[in-house]
Amino acid sequence: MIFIKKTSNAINFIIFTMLFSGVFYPAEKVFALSGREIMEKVNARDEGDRSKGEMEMILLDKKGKKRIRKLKTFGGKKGKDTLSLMFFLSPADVKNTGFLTYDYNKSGKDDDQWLYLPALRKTKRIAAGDKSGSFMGSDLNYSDMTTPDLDLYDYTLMKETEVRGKKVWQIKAIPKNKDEAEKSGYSKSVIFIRQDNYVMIRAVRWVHKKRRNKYLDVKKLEKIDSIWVSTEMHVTTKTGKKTLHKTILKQNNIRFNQDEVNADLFTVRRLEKGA
Amino acid sequence: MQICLLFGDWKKGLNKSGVKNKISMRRENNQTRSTFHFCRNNGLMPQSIYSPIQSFILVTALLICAAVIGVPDIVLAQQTSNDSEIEENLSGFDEEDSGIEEALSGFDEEVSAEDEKDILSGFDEEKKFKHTEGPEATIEKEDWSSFSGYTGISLSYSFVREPPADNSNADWSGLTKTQPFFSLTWDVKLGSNWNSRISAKAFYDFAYGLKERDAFTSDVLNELEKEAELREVYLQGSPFGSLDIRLGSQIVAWGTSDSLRVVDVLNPTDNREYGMTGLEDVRIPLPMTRLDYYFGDFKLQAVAVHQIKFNKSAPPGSDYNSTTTEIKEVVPESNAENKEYGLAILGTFSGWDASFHWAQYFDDEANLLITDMTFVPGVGLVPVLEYRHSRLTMSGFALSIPSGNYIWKAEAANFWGMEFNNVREKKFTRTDLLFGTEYSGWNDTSLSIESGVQHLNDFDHRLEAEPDYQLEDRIATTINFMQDYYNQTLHLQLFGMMIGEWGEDGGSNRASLEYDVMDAFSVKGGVMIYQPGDSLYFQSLNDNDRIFFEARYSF
Repeated sequence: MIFIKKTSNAINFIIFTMLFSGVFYPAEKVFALSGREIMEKVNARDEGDRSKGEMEMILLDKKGKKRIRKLKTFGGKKGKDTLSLMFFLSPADVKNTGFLTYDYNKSGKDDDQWLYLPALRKTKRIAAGDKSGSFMGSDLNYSDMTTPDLDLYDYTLMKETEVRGKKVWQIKAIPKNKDEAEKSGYSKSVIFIRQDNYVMIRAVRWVHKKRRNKYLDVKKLEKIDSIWVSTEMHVTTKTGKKTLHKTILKQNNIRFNQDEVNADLFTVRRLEKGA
Repeated sequence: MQICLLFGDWKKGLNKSGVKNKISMRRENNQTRSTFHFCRNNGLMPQSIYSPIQSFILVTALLICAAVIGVPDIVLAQQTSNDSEIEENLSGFDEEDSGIEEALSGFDEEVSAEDEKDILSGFDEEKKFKHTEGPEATIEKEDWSSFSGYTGISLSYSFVREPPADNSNADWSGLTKTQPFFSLTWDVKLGSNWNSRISAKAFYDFAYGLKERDAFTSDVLNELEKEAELREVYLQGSPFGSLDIRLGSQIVAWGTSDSLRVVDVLNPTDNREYGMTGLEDVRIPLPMTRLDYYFGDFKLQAVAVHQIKFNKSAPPGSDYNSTTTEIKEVVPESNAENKEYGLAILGTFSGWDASFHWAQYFDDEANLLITDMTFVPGVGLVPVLEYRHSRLTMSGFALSIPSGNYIWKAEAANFWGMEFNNVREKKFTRTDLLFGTEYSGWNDTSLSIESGVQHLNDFDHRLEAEPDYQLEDRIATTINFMQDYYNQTLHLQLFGMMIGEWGEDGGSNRASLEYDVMDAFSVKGGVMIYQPGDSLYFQSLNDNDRIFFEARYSF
């Protein structure tokens, strides 16, 4: 499947997209912040380092058909760059398929991505330009898994509201140009940032050139090793009020600062050894 | 007269001589690899209604159509006024918030706070969203021992061939494959640094029993009706630091190309059914000792091959080899003198990968040698032929460079030691070049094109005559289009290949559609069309057009 060759940044996926886990910022400071400033705080949060965990994706179509993907994930930092390694544990036909990603902080620099295909016994270089494709058949795409370049978006603080009893900022994000909309796959987003911890707790995304919206909703948020981690998120694709597809994303056994997660892990050598 | 072509290796031909080539097309998790042979006929041969170039154009047109079909929302969005309004609203990058509140009401939520009601009011839609939550799935604990594999059935139906008039002749029409298969792999972890693998595969083809079985040759029945073999059997580990070692029957795949082989020379391939062999099975494992030493961004790889094995070819009398005469093949002894060696240094860098390769090995494809002449009453002097495998030295490199939505690939290699019957006083060298690109800028879509040329240096025109049938230059081009639909449950693949500068030597086209019925179970169907061109080999395949089906369960 094509999703295999377009995998990206598992740890960003784990740590950033789902949860925007971060440090605690006093609420009184933030009222004066603009949408952009809030997003800068979100990006500056503590994502954790040297992480290890397991990911489970439950894919549900409108007929009730259920598919499950399980992965083992590792994440780390190299300076300002983010490294990630992930292995498929299931389904069986892609078991031990692995992805290695170097997500560079430098603006405009494409990620480095390698894919190990057990059936080929071969590691392939993967193009990382387009991020609008579905990630593993889920309702998320690859831009959902990487840190957004704030310079490419206009952020507007729409209002303050509450989600499940927690105060949030409701921020609208619009790509500054069509190229970014094409690459990310989204023409507009409204995101909800919790004011007490800078975690993105919800988001609505407008799929570019399609009459579809994606609803990202963090259902379970936990503090693990002092890092906020979304351990369950539901992502629903709808057209109008009609649900087309849904993904339940769970993270299990997340741990940070693991000794085994070091520079030697994020290499092609390790990629080829499998989970 | 025929001239046999190949791309990748010299090939053992169908009739007197020939060539085969391995072209792979990969799907990311369920890939197929086309195997192809191509020969060229210098004489006047009838052309198919569809010439290779026409076919190639047809495939390209199909690809374009598929690309359009694959993005219907774009088309619709541009065609309906209603969508135009949406488009204006959603992609105009305006500051209007119209539609936002409506969209925000789509969360499936149990919260009842007054100020969220407007936003979170779409829950009744959830009732229409059916799903059955089974027991909560959990990640299995890692085990020291694990079994995996797949089983299923593979069918093919030849829709061009006519049944033979006489039952004493083999019937290659209609159902040509009814083949249940089973593959099992046992992986064992031996401590933190060592592990082992044993894998095996078996199949039995009922198609022969469903027809007049006795009409098939013993070669055909022995090689195509049933098979059970060990594949990868190895022990691997890291004895210290930066060194990895792997001992046993294994596969070493070199190069960046997906469909044409240049530096990928170590493992022979299964060419028995041209273009129909699945990727998992196409490379044949060989007993090897492999050492990988890592330093910085580099890997130094050394390989010693302990057993001489060559490509699996279609047996005489089969639908992929219509000859009836078996020619003796000289297989060198697997001793110290004949050992095959490979060396590679592979670098992975920010923004590009490169590797250099060297190998000394026996060509997996054979060339025909006339060893004697014998007198046949009524016929006269007839040559006695043998298949011989040249001892080659290969030196080459491979390059892979990503750029935006593209991956650019290149491979080049020089081969020394090619021996031919008609010019025995010297050995020839050949230079292979390959360029390719893979585009992945469309949603859930991949398009790759690869083209390569083999140039026989210091070409001697005596090589054009039988039994060598060589050409100075051989060109092959492939195009592979893959697209996924419905959250990657439905997969389309279109693969076209043409041999010769403009497809004049033949080609093949394959279209398949695969559906994931469930995670572990998929069904696939498709059609394979062979294009004859000038090549005798492809002309012999012209009647082999077939539809195929496979159901597979993985565990």
